[in-house]
Amino acid sequence: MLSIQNLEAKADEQAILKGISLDIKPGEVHAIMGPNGSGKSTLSNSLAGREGYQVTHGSVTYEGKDLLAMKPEERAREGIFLAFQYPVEIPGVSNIYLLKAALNAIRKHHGQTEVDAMDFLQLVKAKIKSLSLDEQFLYRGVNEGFSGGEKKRNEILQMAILEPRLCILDETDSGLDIDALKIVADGVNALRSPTRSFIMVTHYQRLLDYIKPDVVHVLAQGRIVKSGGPELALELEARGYGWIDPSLNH
Amino acid sequence: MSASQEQIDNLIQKEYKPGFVTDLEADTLPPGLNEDVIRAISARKNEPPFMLAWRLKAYQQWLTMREPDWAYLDYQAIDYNSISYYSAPKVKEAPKSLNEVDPKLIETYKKLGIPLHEQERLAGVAVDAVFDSVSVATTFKDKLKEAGVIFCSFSEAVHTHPELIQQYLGSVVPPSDNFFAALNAAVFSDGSFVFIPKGVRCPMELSTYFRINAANTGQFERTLIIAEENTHVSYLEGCTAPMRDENQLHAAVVELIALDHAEIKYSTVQNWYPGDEEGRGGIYNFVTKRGDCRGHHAKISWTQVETGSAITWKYPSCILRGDHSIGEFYSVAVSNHRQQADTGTKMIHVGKNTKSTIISKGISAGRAENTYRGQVKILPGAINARNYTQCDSLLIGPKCGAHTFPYIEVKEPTARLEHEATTAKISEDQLFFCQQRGLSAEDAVSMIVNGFCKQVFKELPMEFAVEAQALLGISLEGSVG
Amino acid sequence: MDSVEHYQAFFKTGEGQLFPWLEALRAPARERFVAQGFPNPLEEGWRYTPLRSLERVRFTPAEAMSGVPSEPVDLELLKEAYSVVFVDGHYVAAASCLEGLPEEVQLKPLSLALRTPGEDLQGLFEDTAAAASCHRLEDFNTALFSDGLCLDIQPNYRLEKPIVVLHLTQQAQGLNTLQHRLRLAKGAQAHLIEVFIGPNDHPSLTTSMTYAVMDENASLRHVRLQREGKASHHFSGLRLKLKRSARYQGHLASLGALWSRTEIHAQLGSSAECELEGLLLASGRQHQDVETRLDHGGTHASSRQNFRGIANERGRGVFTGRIVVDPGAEKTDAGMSIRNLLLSGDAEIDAKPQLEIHADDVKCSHGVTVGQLDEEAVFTLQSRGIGEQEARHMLTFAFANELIERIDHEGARASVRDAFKATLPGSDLGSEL
Repeated sequence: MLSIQNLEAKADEQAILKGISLDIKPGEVHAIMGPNGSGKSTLSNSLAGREGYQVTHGSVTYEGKDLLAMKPEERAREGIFLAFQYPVEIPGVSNIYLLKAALNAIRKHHGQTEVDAMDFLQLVKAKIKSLSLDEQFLYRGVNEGFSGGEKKRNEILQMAILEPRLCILDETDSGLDIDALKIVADGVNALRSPTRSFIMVTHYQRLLDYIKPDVVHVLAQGRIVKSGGPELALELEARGYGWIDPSLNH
Repeated sequence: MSASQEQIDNLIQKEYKPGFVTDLEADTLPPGLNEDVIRAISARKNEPPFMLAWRLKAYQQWLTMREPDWAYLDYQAIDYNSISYYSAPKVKEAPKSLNEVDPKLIETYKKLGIPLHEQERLAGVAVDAVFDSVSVATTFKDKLKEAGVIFCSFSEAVHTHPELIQQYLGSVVPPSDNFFAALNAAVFSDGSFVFIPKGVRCPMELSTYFRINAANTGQFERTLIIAEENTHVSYLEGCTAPMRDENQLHAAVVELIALDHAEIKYSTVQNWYPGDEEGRGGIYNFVTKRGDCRGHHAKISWTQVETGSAITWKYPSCILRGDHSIGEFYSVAVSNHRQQADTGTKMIHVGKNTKSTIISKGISAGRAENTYRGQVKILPGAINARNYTQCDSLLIGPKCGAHTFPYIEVKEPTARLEHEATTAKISEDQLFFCQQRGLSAEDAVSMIVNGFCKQVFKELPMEFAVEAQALLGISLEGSVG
Repeated sequence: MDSVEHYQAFFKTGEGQLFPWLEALRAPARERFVAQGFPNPLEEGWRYTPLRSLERVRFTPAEAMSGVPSEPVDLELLKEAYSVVFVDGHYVAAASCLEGLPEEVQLKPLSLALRTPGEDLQGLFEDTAAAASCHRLEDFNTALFSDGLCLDIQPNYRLEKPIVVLHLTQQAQGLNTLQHRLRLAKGAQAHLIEVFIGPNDHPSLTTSMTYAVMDENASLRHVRLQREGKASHHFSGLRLKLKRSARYQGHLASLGALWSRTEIHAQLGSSAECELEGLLLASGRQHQDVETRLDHGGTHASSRQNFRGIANERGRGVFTGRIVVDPGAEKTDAGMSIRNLLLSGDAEIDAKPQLEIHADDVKCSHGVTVGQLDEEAVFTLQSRGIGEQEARHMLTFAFANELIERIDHEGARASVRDAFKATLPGSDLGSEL
């Protein structure tokens, strides 16, 4: 599904990613762990095409296409979904309007007709219930005045409605208490399927207790320094990042 | 940034659709201003002597006044003697019904999306159409008459209700108020008149549609709305003009009077020709609008969406005289290319427990200058007066300017006032977020701009809200309401 | 004789021979002042601050005097500091203390510096802030100043010990006119504390202009306490030029005088930082005006302004705060907050915050509130047994004290706090507050 070859990228004119290679097959869940500054967010943002992140070397092939040549919205329409670490507020634009506009943009891209208003409402209502969100939530401005937990659940709601093929969860667990984390994890688990893949970027192993990864990669100083099964995350938790990257010992 | 900047640029490069000229034979006074011109205007309107006397006095005052220069506006000095002060479509006699109105005029309004035939009109909106200097048609008059509402052209009201005109004309905006108000008082040619008698809720929206057509002509209309005790009226105003290379002057006056428990809602979508990209042509819009909450529990609400004009100088205001009266000002002002807008409001709190709200959204693009200028004055004795003001400016592109100049004067210790202002550009985080969810940069900008203006759009009557959004070049079904 | 003619008699005109550069500074200012007189309320910048009461009195500058101040002032503050004392516009060496200054620091009164052979003062007077914001009270000051402080700090020298400048007015109808010139070279640091004190029983006029040029990475902390006498008129202006990454932190307490105007104008270069805090108290018939103008000329500069005003009895508080962002000054971050307490039916607050933005990638905001003490808080205190009057005083003090607490010099903080307590009408707050 996704093949990253020797990816190097800069952020703010500073080289952050220094050669990353990664293969993700349909249905797989990959966890990318690493200390602060290891390049986790740069990787997520480079895949989503955010401005200010400049790929200087390497290639990314997504379902046989050159991902890096696509505009951010094209990547989204092709099924790449970034769940933001810090979801932005957009005052005055209602949640439901954004969801509908986004869904229709994606459907149009795939040659499908726009979704019927009633069908859409039913779909959305069903989804918000499973995320323990109030219906009022739909009519509030996007993330406007939401708590940290609500913002993260809103990201998962968008994911559930847009039904992407590849989900990138950027530190989705940060700032969540244990109850909110469970709700978010349940939301993600419900979306797991043999055709949908996940990249979970996280600092802590806590999230992996709730969403079981197939593969765990450890990122340090812009490179993947170790890959393994779920047990790698536990070992990392027990021994700290210094185990992988001695420069972090002090 | 470059890709999305280009799309933003495309978005704001909208063609001015109402820019056509109607070819009509017109009765136009030669350019220039003196007492004879004023006598000629008054004579053409067959006015009673009190009107002529009022005009001449205003003219004398105007001669002693100076054009204001405090606004953040830069324009070529206006030569008041090069303007023609009267132009009207030539008719043998005033049309008695719509059937007698020149078909070319009807066609003009149809092209502008304002059909004058009642059967084509959405039920619920009565229209007074003002073409250059005169009112050419007023619809649904009979239906309104049944309810007791008077809605007619100003010149008609001078003849049919001189007592109301004498009582209220200039009582909110006296000719001496400012330079442009004095000029208007001297030469105004027509406008709309509305009278809502005690206890009547106006059964439909009232609307005036202003059109400047003739070249080298100024338009000076005057609107007077009187809402007696326990009444309600919603009034809409729209304006367009042809694309011409020279600037044209528009200096209007609007006076609103609300007595006890009366509510007037006044909405404007101003789309005068803004000039071209290089700043050639366009309307100079110098307008004095003021509402007087004369009675207790009166309410006056101004909503404006300003997208047109080369120069805008406009401060719709409220005098909150009656106890418990309410003033509101909701404004979206968009300026692009070389447009300059200096607009805002004044809220003068006199009565007890008076309340005012100001929500102003300025959007500046291209090389435009967009200024909010507002005054909130709370006089001694305005016990428990409250004001809330929020002024936000959005910048699109590095060459425009956005300015915020509020004046706050509080002399009453039980008053509470809160003012907030922000200026920022469209957030790149918001743009990227929308794009990551699959929206194009252009749609993302539309959506964000509309979200930014939502507080104001939701104050507009439904039909106008749609027009306003279309004017911003934005499709936004569902996000407003 | 009108007021302009009155002051013309005192113009300094005899300096041309010895100091042509000084004459070149004074001459145009003199001309402008003579031609146009004092500012009038029809001018936008003086809309809320008429000068009538100032023009009514004919103030007269004092002859140079060498006497010591008639009473000791702020002794606490003078400890552990270099001190410069001006009485009625003239430096008083006997009351000042400039001992132990390191050689990297030039600190002298102007009157002394002019008499010192080989002293190069011209440079200090050259780099004056743009004339755009110059007005006739500033001209008045330039035409008449009799003395001032010259401070010049060498690159990277950090002067830890504060410099305290006392301005005292003693003479009746006295005119006290000073102009200070500061230059902080690259990386230099200083801490300046200015105090203005005057008598209560007769009118006087103090005008004091300070011009400061701060080179790259220079840093200045500045506290100004204005507690002039009840009949005085006070005008003080600060013109700051902040070059790349320079940092200015100012605290102002404008508490005294019958009529007072304090101006702070700053030009910010790239990455410069400017923090202004100010407290203003207008009671009795006091007129207190604070005007700020920050010009963001470079990218990534930031400014924070935080002012609080209290208007009581027949007092009037006036705030004008203009933030200008020049074309190209991207990533500007500028914020201003003005909060006011209006405590009496005869008092007035006027505020004119302004944003003038010519760049797009900026974050600018201002906020103003005018209101009263929180009645709920008053009641809460009452319900704990505190009298209503006292409760109101406590809350008013707390409103001001939040700002006072942010002054990071203990002596200066104590001086401001004591002055505020002494000025707050009807106040008899215990020292524990």
